[in-house]
Amino acid sequence: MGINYLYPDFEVIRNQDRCITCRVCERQCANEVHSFDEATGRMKADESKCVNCHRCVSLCPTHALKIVRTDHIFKENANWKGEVIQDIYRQAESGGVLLASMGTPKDYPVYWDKMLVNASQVTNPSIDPLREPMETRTYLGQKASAVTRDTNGRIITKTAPQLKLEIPIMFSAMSYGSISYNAHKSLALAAQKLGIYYNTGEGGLHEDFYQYGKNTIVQVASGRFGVHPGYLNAGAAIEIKMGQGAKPGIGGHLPGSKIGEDISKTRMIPLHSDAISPAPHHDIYSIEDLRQLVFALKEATAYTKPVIVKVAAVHNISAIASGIARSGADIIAIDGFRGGTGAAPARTRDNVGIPIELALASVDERLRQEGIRGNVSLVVGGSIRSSSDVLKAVALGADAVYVATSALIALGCHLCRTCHSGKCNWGIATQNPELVKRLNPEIGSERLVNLITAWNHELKEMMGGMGINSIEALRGNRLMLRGIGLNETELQILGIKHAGA
Amino acid sequence: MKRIYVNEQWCLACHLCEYYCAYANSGLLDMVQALKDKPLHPRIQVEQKGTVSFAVNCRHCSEPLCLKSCIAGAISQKDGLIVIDQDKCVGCYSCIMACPYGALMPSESGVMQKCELCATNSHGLPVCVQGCPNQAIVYEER
Amino acid sequence: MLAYSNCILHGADAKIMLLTLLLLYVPLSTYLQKHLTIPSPRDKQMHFRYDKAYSIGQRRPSEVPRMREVSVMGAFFSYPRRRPMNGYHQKTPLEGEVRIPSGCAISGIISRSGNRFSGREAISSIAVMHDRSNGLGGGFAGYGIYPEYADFYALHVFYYSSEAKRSCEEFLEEHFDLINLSKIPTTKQHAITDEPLIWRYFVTPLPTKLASSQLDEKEYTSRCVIKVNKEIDGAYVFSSGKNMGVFKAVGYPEDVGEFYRLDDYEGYSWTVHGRYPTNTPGWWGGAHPFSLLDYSVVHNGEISSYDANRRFIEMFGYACTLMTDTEVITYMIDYLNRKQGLSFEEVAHVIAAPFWSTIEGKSQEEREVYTYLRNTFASMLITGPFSIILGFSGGLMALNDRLKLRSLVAAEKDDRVYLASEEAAIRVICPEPDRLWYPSGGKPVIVTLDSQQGGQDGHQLPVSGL
Ligand code: SF4
Ligand code: SF4
Ligand code: SF4
Ligand code: SF4
Repeated sequence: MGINYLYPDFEVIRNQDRCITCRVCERQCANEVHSFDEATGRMKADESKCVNCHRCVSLCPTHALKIVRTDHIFKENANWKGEVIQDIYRQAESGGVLLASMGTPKDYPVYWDKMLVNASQVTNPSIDPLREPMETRTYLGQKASAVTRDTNGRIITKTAPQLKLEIPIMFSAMSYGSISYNAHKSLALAAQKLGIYYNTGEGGLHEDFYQYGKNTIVQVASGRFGVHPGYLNAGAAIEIKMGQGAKPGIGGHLPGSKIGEDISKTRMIPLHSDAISPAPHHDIYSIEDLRQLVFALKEATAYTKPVIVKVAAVHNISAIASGIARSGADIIAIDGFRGGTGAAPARTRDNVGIPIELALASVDERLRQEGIRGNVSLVVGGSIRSSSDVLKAVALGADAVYVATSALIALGCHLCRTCHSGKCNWGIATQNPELVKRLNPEIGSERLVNLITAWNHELKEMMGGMGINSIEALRGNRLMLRGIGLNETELQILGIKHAGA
Repeated sequence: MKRIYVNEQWCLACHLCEYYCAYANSGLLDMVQALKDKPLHPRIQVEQKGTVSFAVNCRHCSEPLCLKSCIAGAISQKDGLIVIDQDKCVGCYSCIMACPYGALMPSESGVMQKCELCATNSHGLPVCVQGCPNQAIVYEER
Repeated sequence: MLAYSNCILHGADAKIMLLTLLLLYVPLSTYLQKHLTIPSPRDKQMHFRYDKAYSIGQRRPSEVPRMREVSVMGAFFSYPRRRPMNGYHQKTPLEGEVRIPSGCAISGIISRSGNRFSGREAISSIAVMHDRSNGLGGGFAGYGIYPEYADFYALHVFYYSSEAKRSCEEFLEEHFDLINLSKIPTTKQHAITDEPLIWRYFVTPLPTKLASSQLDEKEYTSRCVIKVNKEIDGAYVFSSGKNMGVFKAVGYPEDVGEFYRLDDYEGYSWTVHGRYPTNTPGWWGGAHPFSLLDYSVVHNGEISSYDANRRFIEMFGYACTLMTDTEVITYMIDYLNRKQGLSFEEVAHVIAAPFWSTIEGKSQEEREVYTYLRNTFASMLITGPFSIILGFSGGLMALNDRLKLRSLVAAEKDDRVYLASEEAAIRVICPEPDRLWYPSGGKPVIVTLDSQQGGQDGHQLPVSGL
């Protein structure tokens, strides 16, 4: 076995005065941390296996448990931090790429937290959303550039296909495979109840979920898993996934061990074969190729579905977005580098891409400069954590936002960031039926509905405070934002003034 | 009448219901005090075979066999709720023999006990249901 | 009379007095206007005749040195925003430097049969609402005032230096035929100071330039106007329509009316504005009405959708240099009515779009149109309090925000329709209207000349939106 260089990151602290040896922790930890010691009649723990997912903590009926960070340290070194040293030990041991999940935990600036929101005083009344209508309905899709009339002078009201959202929030792509059947079902049910959309991700659409088609966005990714005419026509919109914020320029790999019967059928690949998504779409090596795919998908759906092109926020995102806006796409989805993932190389996740706030600000401004902002709707994602993030995104210029991590947290995810292990104790990022069972979609969908409804209330509250009673009047309304502690360049990119100015 | 129903699809066999039940009927306000280092006498029990599990307690049958079988007249039916008067119970086990669900069991003192939907203890509403993490048992009108 | 007393009070006394007056204001002024007919002290001072100077048309002498070639298209594609009148006022922030919210008074009068009347009534009407402005801006728009030059664009220009004038005139000469030019006649008012040079030009686009621009006449002219305002420092075109004109200044509106001798102009419709900005910009161009081509807007309110509207409309070649609501509203109306061909009623359904719940209650056909307009022009929805009176060739439109957060009254007598922030402002010039009503929020009142019925907005009633 050799030397174990890694000391456990966490300590499982059990208050033996409170523990009633119910063994719930033992039964609920798929990592087999807890066990009952017959000799002492007490519970014990093997903390080296603990990933700090809090399942045991949440279910312990007597609050006897807590997980703490170990205070075991390396000799202090500002450059060679403990995590850096540990990563080297890991790679020296395995010889492999470090894998990680969810969004980057690194301490990059979060610009949402450096923007402040305006409110009305004196010159302009605030509006009470409990007394007056307060609207958050949003339509996504191309807007007509010129009004046309029939021979009687009546306006021709037919438009390019639109997505109607009662709340400008959608659940972003998470494939069946990367998350469980019950997680998918929770999202589908919640989207239906909320009048919004969830996204199949690149894993195809399980036959049970075709019934939620009106609230589904079907994704076409580089692996083309589960793509067939029925699938394309099943949803309300089609999303071409060019990239993902957490791993721009990287494809995907779902190991064969996870490709069980259901998933193999949904993805249309052989049982237990690895599902590999190539890094690029091999039919898209340039922008004109993208245009062809956009129109191929439109042809396949008789021009009845809006086409979304999803890209990762990278350095020249505004030029890329401008290209996409001219490609026939109806909606551009931009995923910032703090966005989540089921599995990504840690170095890519933590170092590639740019924050969504800056990407959004520069894309929106660029599209306006080119006069083509009306050609496309903008949806942004990549760690939208609260209603105020939503509000700030809309004020910067987004039409709607994509949330995924927040939705998973609502379902119970504790961001232990070990999705790639497939042993999610919360039944979300796993295909193990025993674990999947832990997520009851009835409960899950209700929690999602609660979360988004609560955000919408808060959104309305803040809009009312600004004297805005329809969300479209907030869109791109950057005067409603002020920066705090930002330098000139940051303010200029965000297109906002500093607080007090 | 509202009863406890089982959704075995969602039962995780975590056994929390048993602990909550024992606590609910302990008469104590602190769970640790009620259960720590003591034998467990819950009125709900998790049955498990392979990956299938579910919790069983009294069904509060409309034609209760336990009531008919009781030789001491300890079991009675009030507005659909089947209750046992432990002062009258002589511990003959007739009810245990008669109940098709195995919902009665001896209590710590030897006389029989059964689920009374927490209507007769200080909680008022089924505590097992409140404690179930996955809505595998629900308390509802059907 | 109340207006007059305010002018001579100072300091703390004035504040207390103002407060008291404010409280008593509406009932008192209405009472006074009804029962006492005391001539305004300024009536006496108006003994000037209509100055004919402007009509003695002269082309500019050609000795002015030629300026660099300025292309009209350039206006469209250059983005950096110039600070208007840079260097001329340095003490307080100007329009365009900060956003200046303001409360205001507005009023409008139209004769549906097209009878022309002088600006006096507009002056009397706005004077009643003296306390709704604070002396930092007032202005008028009159329609039908230049029948002799009805086919020419009347450009009214402020100059802050002769240098600016020279550059601007050079630019105008390069792009237009200048039919006539003159100073706009004014009468000194003690309350109106710091006046710039104020010139008027009747112009028509140079046919060759117009043809090579491949634009229609209006688009060509509007781009030229935007170009001057954006790029020639110290020159500001504040009126550019045909057979209409805007007259505005820093001061109380009634003084502004006297200053410009509006007794001497006759139009079939007038709008007027008294401004109460929340800081002191002291720049003439910032007064209202704001105007582009034939559109002029007077506005009371502070819109919360400002930057959403601005950033959207600027995609279409407009440059919002003033950061005022009125400017962005005018551009949106120009875009929707002139460029998109929407009727004024349809324009109202965009900028004061009904709530979705209201739209849902409509007939299928209406619902489709309302949804289409609201969705297609989503970024042109105006939120926050406003009441506006839009002047256009042949009519007026009054419109409130959807919640009616600003006052607006309409009245009708014979062929006249009156619109104002306050009933008193109507009663002072029309004591016994046939009908008086408070238009509901988001419902436009559109009044067009009888002679225009059956035109582009032909399906509209003479007065709609009751
Ligand atoms: S892995 Fe999760 S369930 Fe297991 S001990 Fe750690 S925190 Fe508890
Ligand atoms: S769940 Fe809590 S009380 Fe039960 S055995 Fe574990 S630590 Fe003890
Ligand atoms: S608490 Fe619920 S999930 Fe756990 S064993 Fe009991 S019924 Fe099953
Ligand atoms: S309802 Fe109360 S008494 Fe009955 S099983 Fe549940 S906890 Fe026990």
